[in-house]
Amino acid sequence: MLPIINVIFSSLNVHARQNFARATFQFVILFQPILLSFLLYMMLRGSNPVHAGEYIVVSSGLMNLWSSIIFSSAGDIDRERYMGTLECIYVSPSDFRLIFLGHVLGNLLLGLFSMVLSSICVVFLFGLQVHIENPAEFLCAFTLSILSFTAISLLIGLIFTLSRSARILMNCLEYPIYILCGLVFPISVLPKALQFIAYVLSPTWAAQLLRESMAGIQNIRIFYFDLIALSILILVYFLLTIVLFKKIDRRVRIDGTLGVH
Amino acid sequence: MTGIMGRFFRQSLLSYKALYGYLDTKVYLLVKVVNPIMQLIFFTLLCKYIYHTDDVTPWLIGNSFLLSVYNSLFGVGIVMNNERHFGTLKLVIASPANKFLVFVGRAFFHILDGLSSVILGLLIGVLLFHLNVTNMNILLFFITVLISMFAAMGMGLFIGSLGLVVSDMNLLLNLSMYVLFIFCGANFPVERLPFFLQNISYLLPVTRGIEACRLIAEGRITPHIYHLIGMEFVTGAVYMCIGFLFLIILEKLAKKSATLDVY
Repeated sequence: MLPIINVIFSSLNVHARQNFARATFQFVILFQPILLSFLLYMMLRGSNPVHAGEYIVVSSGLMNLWSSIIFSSAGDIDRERYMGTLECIYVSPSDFRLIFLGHVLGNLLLGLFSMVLSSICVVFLFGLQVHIENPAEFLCAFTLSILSFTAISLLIGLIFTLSRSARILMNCLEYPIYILCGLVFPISVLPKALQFIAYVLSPTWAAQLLRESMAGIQNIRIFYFDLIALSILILVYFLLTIVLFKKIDRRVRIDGTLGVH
Repeated sequence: MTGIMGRFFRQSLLSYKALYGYLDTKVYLLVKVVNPIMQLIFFTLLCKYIYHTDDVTPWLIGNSFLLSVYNSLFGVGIVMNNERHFGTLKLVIASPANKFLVFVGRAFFHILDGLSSVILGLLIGVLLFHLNVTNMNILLFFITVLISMFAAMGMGLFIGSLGLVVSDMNLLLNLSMYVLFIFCGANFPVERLPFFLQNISYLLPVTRGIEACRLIAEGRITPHIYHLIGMEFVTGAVYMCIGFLFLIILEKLAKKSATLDVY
């Protein structure tokens, strides 16, 4: 068990430091949460809705978390390829999946920091109140949300192993998820067909659960149903990651083009 | 004269093609069509949700303008950095060609491309959000958009000139993008900003263009619109001149310290 933790921690440590040195990531972690929160605050300013603080914290926090995944985990494989290190870490005696998990956790850690920054902004800069009405349920929802973002990061990162345009494609994944998963507005504003797609994406449930537990749960049965749905989706994502890795592993060994860009 | 103009267009086209040339058609369409559409849909739905309104015309117009930000910042703004990256910066600087034309040429096709992005945004608005264009003076609207694109590319050239001394432009470009998202009045009225921040809005391109286009869309053609359009043109020209001035100063500095190609 200890060597596994060692691999994950070493990968996390190196990767988080390396990523934080990148200008784009510095923007996503340090500046985007403040600017996004400010944008939402200014839009809400005229109407003074209830739970404005909670709305801004969850919305900008999740948007930032997603951006940090898109601009890091999704492009990590491509960056390793560009630096010429992908083949080395792929064939190293440590399991590539563990190394990549360390990458993802490092990105998530920095992404979570941006959520904290956004909360600080909302409370101290804009003077809004942020309450957590159901702390125990919030903790549950928060933990599952982190797990769900870890699962989806692994899945996207692996899929992008096959693409040589990952860096371009990752730029195109930001807004569709903002829209489909209702990170800022409820998915009820979307056409019915799109709502079905939204329900197979774990951030949809994560956003719903975080919002509910912060603003106050209306119906505990629905809340637990959402919690179970999110747990099932996380499990499916992890299973998909395992199956996909086997397929991708076989393909890159046959094609021999892992390091070609 | 024909020779100079020919070179100007050739260089402009080459510079534009160099930016996207390495992408295949599918990825190019994703970047230039699908992504802007998604951005527009996101911000329009956000405005619709927050303002509880079905009439999203003003927000659609504002956000259609913002689609051109990618051209001005990530197209024109990164041009000097790209030249350094491709190893051609020293050749561009050392060539005896008219520097001003070389500089402005980098933005020329992006003005047209930015215009096409705005038109795409409006088309999506008509198709998905029932944008009403019946009261619109189409000719005046397009002149306003064209001048706003000129102003936006002026800002891009100004930021691009900083590429001579800044090695990684990503932080600066992303920051500038959000500054435009927040301050140009596309997603909330400029009047909502604290007074001292409202001044920033009017130092930026596109703010006046959006205001003018919203008035044109409402069919309210007043002398104020011409004032806004005129000031938008002046804003663009000032950015372009400051950018060129910066380019000359920074070029001299870079030559002196032999850091032109260092990144």
